[in-house]
Amino acid sequence: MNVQVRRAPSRVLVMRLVDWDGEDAAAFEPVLEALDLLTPYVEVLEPGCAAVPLRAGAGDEAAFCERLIDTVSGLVDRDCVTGVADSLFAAVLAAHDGRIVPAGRDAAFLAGRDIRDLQATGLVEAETCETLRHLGIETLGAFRALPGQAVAERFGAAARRAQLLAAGQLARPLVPRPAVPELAVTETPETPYANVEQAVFAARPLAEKLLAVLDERNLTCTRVTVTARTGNGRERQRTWQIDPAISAADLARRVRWQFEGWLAAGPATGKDDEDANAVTMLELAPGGLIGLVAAGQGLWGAKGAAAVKAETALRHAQSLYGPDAVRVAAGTDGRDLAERSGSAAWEVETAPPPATGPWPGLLPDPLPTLIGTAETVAVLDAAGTPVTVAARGDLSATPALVALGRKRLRITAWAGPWPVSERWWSTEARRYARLQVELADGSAALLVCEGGQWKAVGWYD
Amino acid sequence: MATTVAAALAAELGLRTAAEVATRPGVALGTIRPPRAILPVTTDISALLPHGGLATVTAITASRRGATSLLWRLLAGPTRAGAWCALVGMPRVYPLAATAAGVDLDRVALVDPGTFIAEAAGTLAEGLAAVVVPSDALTPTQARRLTARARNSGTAIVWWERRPVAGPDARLEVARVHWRGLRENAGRRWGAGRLDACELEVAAHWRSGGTHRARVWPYGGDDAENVVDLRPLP
Repeated sequence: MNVQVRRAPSRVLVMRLVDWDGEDAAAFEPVLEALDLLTPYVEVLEPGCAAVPLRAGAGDEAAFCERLIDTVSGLVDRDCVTGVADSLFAAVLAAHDGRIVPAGRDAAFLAGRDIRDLQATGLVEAETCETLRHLGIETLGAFRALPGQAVAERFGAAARRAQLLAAGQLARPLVPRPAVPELAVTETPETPYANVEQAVFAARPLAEKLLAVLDERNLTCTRVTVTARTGNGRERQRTWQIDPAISAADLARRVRWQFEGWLAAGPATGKDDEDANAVTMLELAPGGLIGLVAAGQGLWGAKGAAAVKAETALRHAQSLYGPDAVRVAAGTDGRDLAERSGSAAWEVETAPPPATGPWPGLLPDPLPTLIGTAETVAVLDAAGTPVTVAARGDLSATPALVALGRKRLRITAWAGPWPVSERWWSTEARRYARLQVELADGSAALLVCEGGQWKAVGWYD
Repeated sequence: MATTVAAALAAELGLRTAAEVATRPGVALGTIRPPRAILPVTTDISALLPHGGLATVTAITASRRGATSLLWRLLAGPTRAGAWCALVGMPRVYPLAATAAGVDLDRVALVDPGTFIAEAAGTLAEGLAAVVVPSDALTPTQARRLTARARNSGTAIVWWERRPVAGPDARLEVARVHWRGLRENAGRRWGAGRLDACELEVAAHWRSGGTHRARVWPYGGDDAENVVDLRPLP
């Protein structure tokens, strides 16, 4: 007995956004959601390009294309082109110039296409197409006419599959994209939470619910987004990095900190308007989902309990005093003390790039421990006349005193000056000279003379 | 209910209730209970600290010259061991100077909470290994509360002592600082040498009594006994 299963004749629509950045998968997501309104089956070929199956003879394809284009271009400010054909490959090519290939005419449509279009199958390299062109195979029709065995021998199995595609023979059903499971948990109280305590009280069961939802799917999350909506429609949102093994109590505490932080930032409107500030909706949305097995394999490397505890405290401080309040310093490119020292908000900004060049003229270790005062000082010689730095890089006289405000301190030891001439080729050019002095009261300072004016740029302490 | 309030109060003040004392006869009254966490410090400093490492409350007299160098040297051990340290409300320090003293800057958080220094220090004392706090930003009550909180969580508090605080386990004072490398260069227009090291004479006054003295070379120097150059370590 020979049972032959025939697939019902079907059509494929391919929509393509013109000039879409192929990397931008996240921005494509809303487009897909709009397509979901029109059809439940969408296969994403690449970001900016999606395929939709159509039933043959189900309706006016041109009208459907119009509607799809209207929907998408209304959403993203881009041109959208569509193509319809019997097979996916033909539809992809048809989408390049927005054509609708009539049913059963795939082979004729493909026959006239340039051989370069074979690359759209993803099976054939550009060099192979060039080779075929040199062999006099200019169109897909000519390629299709070649003996299949010869193509397989000369170019391999992939090219043979491409040949079948070009003949409109090999068709695969579309694979609809998996729907993202709705994992976010939401609490919409009947009476809005009037204050933080009430909202925090509700956060605990919500956190338990979220962890239970994830647990059912053998998942855990590395991020959680806390969203709260207030009575006046204002929405506040913050995403937290969390330990995948977080407990419900810790998660609830995280929500509490967030609320405290929002409270510290001040109410959205006037204090007397309680309804407007009441929390009407609270949502916890997981992000960065990973399997429990992967989470168990040490996502954080060899991070001990102490480090986790410390980072939790730092995040708490960030939530209270702003992400900018916790900074980590690092050395970076530059010659000047202030230039050399970069800093980045911890876990929020990327660290400044480490120093790349050798930076000749860099002040060697140890560096001054206190900077930022830049007091104007006067360097005097024994007779009390101001000392200047000559163009040749030496001092006009031996320095003996430093006048700091009203105080006059004797210089007990000194070294320098070291002239620095920076960026002489540009408008940011700087010329200055540095001098290290030890004063009679035991302090040591780094003095800089720029434009004839001495400043204490750093103190050794 | 009454007992829990008493227990909470006792925990906040860092006290033990009579019941606790009675159940632990091994601990004699009057001895210093070892703190929960002792952070490793460099060998030149460890002799100055009661437990041989950075523990609950240490104070550095900020007005003495060389105090910042001593602070960085004190934090070199903990940060190299991977412990997080934070400086709260100390905007003028130049962090790059710490690298030469052996500090791993990736483990030093510079926290600037504006006027909420006491609150921020309390938050950080919940989890960090060591927190450096300027003492003049806190009232004595706030300082006591912070210390109690730190004792509970095992965080080391380092007072940047601009105003004296009560009862640190050890108070480190730089008695003298000697800058090395600069010369007198009398009668010259160009001075030879450069500042390349400093020697701190440090006196540590322990709460349990006694003064301990040591010489510390925060940035290296020629005294091989005292110098632990942490920089080449991976």
